[in-house]
Amino acid sequence: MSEDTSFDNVDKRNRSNRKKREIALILPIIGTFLLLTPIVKVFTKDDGNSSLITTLLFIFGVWALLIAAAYFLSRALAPEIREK
Amino acid sequence: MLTFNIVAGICLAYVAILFGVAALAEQWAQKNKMTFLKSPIVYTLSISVYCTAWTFYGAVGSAARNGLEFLAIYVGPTLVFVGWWWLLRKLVRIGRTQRITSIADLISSRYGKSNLLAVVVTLLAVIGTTPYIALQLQSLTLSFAVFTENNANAPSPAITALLIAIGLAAFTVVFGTRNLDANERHHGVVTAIALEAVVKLIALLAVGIFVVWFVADGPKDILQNAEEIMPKDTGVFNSRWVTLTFLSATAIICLPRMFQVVVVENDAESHLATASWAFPLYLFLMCLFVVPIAVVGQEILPEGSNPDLFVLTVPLAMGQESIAALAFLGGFSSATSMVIVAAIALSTMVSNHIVLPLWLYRTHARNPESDDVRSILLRSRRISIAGILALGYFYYRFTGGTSALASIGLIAFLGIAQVLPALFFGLFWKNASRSGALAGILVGFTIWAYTLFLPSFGDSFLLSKDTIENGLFGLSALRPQALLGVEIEDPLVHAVFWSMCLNLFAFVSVSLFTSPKPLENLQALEFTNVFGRTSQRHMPSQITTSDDLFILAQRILGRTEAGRLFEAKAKEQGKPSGLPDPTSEFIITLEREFAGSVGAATAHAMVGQISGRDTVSVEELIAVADETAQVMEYSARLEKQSKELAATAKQLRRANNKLTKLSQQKDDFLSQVSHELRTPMTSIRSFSAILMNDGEIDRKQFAHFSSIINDESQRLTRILDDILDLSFLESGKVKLNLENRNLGKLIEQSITASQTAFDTKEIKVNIPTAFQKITLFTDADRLAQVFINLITNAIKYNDKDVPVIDFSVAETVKALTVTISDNGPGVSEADQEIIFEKFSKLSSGASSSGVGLGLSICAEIMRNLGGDVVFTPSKTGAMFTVTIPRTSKSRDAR
Repeated sequence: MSEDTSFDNVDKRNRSNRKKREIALILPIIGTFLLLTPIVKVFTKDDGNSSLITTLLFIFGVWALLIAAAYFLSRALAPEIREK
Repeated sequence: MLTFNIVAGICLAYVAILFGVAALAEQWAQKNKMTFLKSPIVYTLSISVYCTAWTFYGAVGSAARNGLEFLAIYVGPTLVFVGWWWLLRKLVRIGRTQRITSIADLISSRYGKSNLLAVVVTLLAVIGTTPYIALQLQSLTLSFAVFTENNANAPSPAITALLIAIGLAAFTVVFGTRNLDANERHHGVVTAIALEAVVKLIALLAVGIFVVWFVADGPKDILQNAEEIMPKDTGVFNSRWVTLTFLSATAIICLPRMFQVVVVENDAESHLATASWAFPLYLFLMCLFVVPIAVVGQEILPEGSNPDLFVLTVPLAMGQESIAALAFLGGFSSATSMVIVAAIALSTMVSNHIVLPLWLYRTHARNPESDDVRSILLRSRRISIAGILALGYFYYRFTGGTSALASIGLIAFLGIAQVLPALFFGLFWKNASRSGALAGILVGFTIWAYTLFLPSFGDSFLLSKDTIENGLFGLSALRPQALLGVEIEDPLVHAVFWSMCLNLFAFVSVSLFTSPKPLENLQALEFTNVFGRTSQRHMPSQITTSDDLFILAQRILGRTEAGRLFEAKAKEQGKPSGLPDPTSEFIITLEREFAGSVGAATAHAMVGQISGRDTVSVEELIAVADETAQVMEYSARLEKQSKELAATAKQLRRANNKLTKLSQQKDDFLSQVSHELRTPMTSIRSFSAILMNDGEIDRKQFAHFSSIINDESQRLTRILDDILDLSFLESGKVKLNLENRNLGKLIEQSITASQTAFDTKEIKVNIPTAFQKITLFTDADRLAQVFINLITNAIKYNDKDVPVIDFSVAETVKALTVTISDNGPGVSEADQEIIFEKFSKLSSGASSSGVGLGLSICAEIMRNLGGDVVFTPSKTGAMFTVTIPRTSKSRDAR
């Protein structure tokens, strides 16, 4: 019984580590998608007038979210680096 | 009023502080008080050398002119750092394992330690960085000029720039060439840079806060005005935006100074984890107030003011001289830190990849004195630093500050970005070859120069006005800003598109059509597999001696360092004194150490020269030649292991079953034994009780009872004897009395012994005469015991009037088989399996005095003698076959 649970734990840990690494891959992709494509027009409702303010707020908002995500991700991935 | 003299005084004081901090940091580093110096914060701050004067002053100018376009320059690095796990971590790991000293070294090392590639990348870096240094000098003189407007005695911009260049060169020489090992961190410089990073951030934040809350009425006010004042086109999410983001993302990896701080000066990979969010945060804060400053600057300053200097001029216009002075220091910090790091990075490249190989080539034959490599390296680095700053200065004088600040920066970005395909694919694509990298870089570089760099001078340098407008040789397809007639409005986008596409195309196609050299393959494996299994490299320790290696090490690493290294290695090899053996592993370590000082290509050449080995050994070839084989072998090994595991598990399961069965048997045995002992004990007890209590028992009864007691006691003794005998036999501790004995006689004795128990019966025994001729070397008594048992059984269970027992014998080289058969009822099929078990009572229910141990004992005896006894099914009666092994003695005895 105990062997089974420890196997489960190892399996779970591996899976969660893999997930973290996958998030690390996805994060810059999400950033690229939000910051380099015209997707911004969805959020800023560009109606022909100058959308400078909304665009500015959108970029800074996404930027701040990326920083926050990177912060949590680096904390989650740090043990993996230290192990090595 | 801030006069030029005061500003110059502030600058000098600030520089003095920087010198002090750098010196202190070096002292700390020597005394090993490194905790602060090695913190991830210092690392992150040093990366902010990305933010040059162009950022500090130019971002506001760009915002005023082009809207939000400036943000792209920060979005690129943010994306790269957020995705650090996939690219930067690999770069840093490679930088550490391969002891990379610069971007040129990385490319050269990846493509078979090719010095040609290193030279090309070095030249590219110098050409790409020179305008950038000029840009810093220009922004510094511009900011100085703000304070000299009304001062006739102030030096001219040219003199200011010259003085700044000389000062920077001095600082860089003092702190940048202290130690030779570029792989060791320049603690003094890095700490000074970190301090400058803090100053520029505080300065920009101070100006921003002042502008938002003291000049304007808070953020709301600014945002309202921004709609009117800022350019109508936001400049976001168009082709230029994507291009700028791509360029800035490339710059953070490929710019020599960025590579220097991110990869070379990295102390631990965990620092990168911190920088992954802290550096984007730094950039975020640097950008926060750019738009407000641009808005307010356009509002309050007269039309035609240079927006590139708003950071300085807005506080000055509001009479806030202290904030203006702080802003000036921020700009000063941005410019100086960039120039210092760039000069260090470039001087390392120039001295390692150009000067040293040339010098080695010229002094190939003679045997130079110790330490000369070090001195030539240090000297060449110092001269290179001065030379690079001089180049920057002349570029500044030559272009005369004609272009807007930002455009030079972008041109330089694209120049060095030509390294990107070779770098990026080199990390992930094993078949990327040296020729491919060279082709890609050269093609990209040519197109960059033709479409962007040369036209940026207008018609004053190499390209005539006619060529720019109508193409080379009048061919319109070759127009520098519309290649093949593709009209792209923005020359930068045009140049990025063509140079990167053709670079990539040349790189990939040449890589596909060339086959890499063995050393390239080897390095490709080391790079692409840096996180995986590292291939063990073999290098035959051939003609080289430790003395030669030691002399070389002294020349490159210096006496003390080389001595320390060799001593440690000798100790590791178990030598109390003297030089270590020149093992292949030691030579590889040495080459890595050298690479940390002189670059991979030169180190490889030098070690190759003295070990007489310029090519890759056969072992290395085999190791590299077929990585597929390695992988296959690995997976085969895994498969084998899992099979072995399965087999072991099966064995364990079997053993477990057997143990369970044995334990069950033991229990059965114990209960059988107690049962068997109990029966005689009960009769003994009851009859002895009668004898004891009944005083009037007559003589006849007395005799009868006591004979029963006697019989039962004997039976008890027999059972116990049998059990003891059996356990003794089973334990394997029996001592055999081996002797030569005639088989015929042995059987006759056994028959005689058996017959005594059956006096009444008439028995017929047939023994072939062959038995008399056979002599055995065995324990005769034990073997007789077996025969007695079998004969007794044959008589005892026989239902015929005259039992007949037939003996027969068969001989082979290895064994002797004696068959004993009778004319009795035989053994039923169900019983055949269990007759050798202990206490087996047969279903035939034949009455017997035995307890069922006889045949078990026979089997055990035969096992001890090395043979066996089995029941052979036959049609008439029972048949047992006894196999007796023939030892060499028994054969001889014949």
